[in-house]
Amino acid sequence: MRRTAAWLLPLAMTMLVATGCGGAGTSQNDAGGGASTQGGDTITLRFSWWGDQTRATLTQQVIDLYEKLHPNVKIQPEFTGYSGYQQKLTTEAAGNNLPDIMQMNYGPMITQFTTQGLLENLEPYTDAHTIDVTKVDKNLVNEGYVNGHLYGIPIAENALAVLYNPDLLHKAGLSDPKPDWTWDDFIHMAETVHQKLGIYGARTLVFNDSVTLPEYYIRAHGQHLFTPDQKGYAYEDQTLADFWKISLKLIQDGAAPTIDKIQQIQGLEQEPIAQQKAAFDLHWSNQLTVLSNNGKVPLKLAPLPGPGQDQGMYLKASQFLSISKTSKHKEQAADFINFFINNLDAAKILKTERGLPVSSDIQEQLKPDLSPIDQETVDYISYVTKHSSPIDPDSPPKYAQISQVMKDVEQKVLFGKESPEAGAKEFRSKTESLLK
Amino acid sequence: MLATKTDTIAAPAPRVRPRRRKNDNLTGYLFILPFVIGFIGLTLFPTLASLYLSFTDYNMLGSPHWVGMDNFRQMFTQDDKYWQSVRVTVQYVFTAVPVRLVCALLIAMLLDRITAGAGFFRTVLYVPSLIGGSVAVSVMWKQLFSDKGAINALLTAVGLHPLPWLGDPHLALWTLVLLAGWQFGSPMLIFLAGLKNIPRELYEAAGVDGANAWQKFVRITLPMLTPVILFNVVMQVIQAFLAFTPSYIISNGHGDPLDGTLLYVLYLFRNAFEFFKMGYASAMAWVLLAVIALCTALIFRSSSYWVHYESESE
Repeated sequence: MRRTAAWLLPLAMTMLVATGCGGAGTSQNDAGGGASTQGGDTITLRFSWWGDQTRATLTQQVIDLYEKLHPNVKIQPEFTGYSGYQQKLTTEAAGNNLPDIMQMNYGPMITQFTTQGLLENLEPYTDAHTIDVTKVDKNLVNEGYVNGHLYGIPIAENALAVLYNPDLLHKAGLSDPKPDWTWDDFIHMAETVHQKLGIYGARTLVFNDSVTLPEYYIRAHGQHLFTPDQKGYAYEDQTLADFWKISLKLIQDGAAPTIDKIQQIQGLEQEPIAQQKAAFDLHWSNQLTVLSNNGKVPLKLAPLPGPGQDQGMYLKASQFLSISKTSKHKEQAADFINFFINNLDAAKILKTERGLPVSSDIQEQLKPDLSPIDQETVDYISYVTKHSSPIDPDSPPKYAQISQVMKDVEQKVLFGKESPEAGAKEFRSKTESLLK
Repeated sequence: MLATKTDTIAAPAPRVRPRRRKNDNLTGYLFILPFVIGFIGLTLFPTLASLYLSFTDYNMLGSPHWVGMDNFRQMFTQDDKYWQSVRVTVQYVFTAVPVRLVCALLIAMLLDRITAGAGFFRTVLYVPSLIGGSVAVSVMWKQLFSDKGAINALLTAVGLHPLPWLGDPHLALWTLVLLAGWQFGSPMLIFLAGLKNIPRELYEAAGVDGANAWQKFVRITLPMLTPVILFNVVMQVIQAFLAFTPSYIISNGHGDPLDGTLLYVLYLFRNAFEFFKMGYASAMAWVLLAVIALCTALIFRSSSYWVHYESESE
């Protein structure tokens, strides 16, 4: 008898706890839902982004600041690395549980969520100046439009860049690259550094998103990757092949790491440029903070080599903030987005980690607070603003698969298993059907 | 429930028996309730749902459309990467399982001899298996085999050339096989139990007849262990087909380099969560289930030729 009691008690308690948990969960949701209808006390907003720990720390500081100014608002942060981010959001979308505010990426990500009707059209909020975009470059705001409506507010801007180490170049008897330099200059300088200093000249030209760099090269040659309707290709195979030949030449001459070395790089701190073992690397301009180890490695930014830089280079919204259609506090979410891009104190925290702030007022007011690296980024972006063309709308629905095939082919070519020409042909034949 | 409890306690002894039985049943059902709910909600329903989805083009965001056998047709006839993943997985199963089982048996035989501190060694040797499936160990493995990692440092120290372990399409899979071999804990314990069950008289008798250690191993240990070997082979083959975490972490989530570590489940995962082809991924999962079932059946079929049960021999 005692035994029965002894067993039943914990069981009963477990049940209580279990139901208690459920209760707490629902009541929390109720509180969230009820607040807007009753105009009541606490509003909880979920805010989701991708990024590393540095970004998380800075973003949390901005959240704290906002909560201090709005005691009735609680913001629940959710973040992951980029690779798992879209998976997380998609799963949440399938469960009808998207966060109120989410960081979105240009191209396929925002297009996919928009075409499924998951994001809120933000035009009413910009019209009413709840989100003030009057100080943001028109081209940049336009990047947030999908099918004629505004679904994402750009929060920072970015451009492709060559990161270079001036000290290493000088040691090899070279001067800083000129803004109008060419790929021949790039190869020549990289090989000189390699011969004189015994380190890599450049890192091999492969990117996480394997489409980005070839696309620049294609644009610089006056072509485009996709046709305007995103249903076909608008470049010549030879152009793509020529792009790979740059890496192949560097690898063959020992001036760039072989592809198996690249495969083994684990994390940005192991990148040759960050370890002063290469003079050049190609990256997004906002990676300067991380790759220079916060300014400890002397790195500067230069435009990508030409010819055709002005056609090839483009400014890109490095991220957008979007509001989910299911959010119960859209007005408050919009206010937070506005705070994120237009509040000077927030900008002083964020600086250029996500990219250059989008508001021209903020850029101006932020100047006295900028470190030399941030200043380098500001100068570089303002140069690119004058020397670039609008970004391509890369949004075919199967972009992820296309990008994967590009990566596969790129690996085959750079491992030397296939000629660049054969690779270009293979990419086209394998992906053309994905565009239809 | 609390009321029932007080009832039971207050009731006089003779009336307790039938009631208690009823209570016992209720308690029993309550205890299995979480499992039953979990099984229906987290196993049975998702399994049936994935069977349905495997005939659709579900992308998680929209609603699924029926496409019949399209997913299967595409998988078998058009998808090179699918066959690459099959090749890699077969290679993995055929190497990782023997490596792990041989390690497990050798260590188990050593442990069988050790008397001092046996518990300690058993625990220590089991640890890799406890943590082996974890992300942390995969990350550590990646560091060990990296370009400037400990393994290459060791190779250089003894005058050999360092190898691009994770960068070479052919070598990379071997690092996964080694990792699998290192996690020999659970088959090791089962082997150990099997070894302890072999009657010592057999060895003594063989010793009297002049058999050497190798003969004892081949004529006594192995035959007596075959039922245990069968069990271990079946379990390990199933596990090897399902391997995911190490290849996901070590290959940067892509099966790099050149799809050299693209295990089946990794490719399935990529289809589901990277390309959002849930229907296709579900179809892949069902093919995998069928293949595992077939392999298990074949192993069981073959067992009548090599597994030796004591009761039969009499």
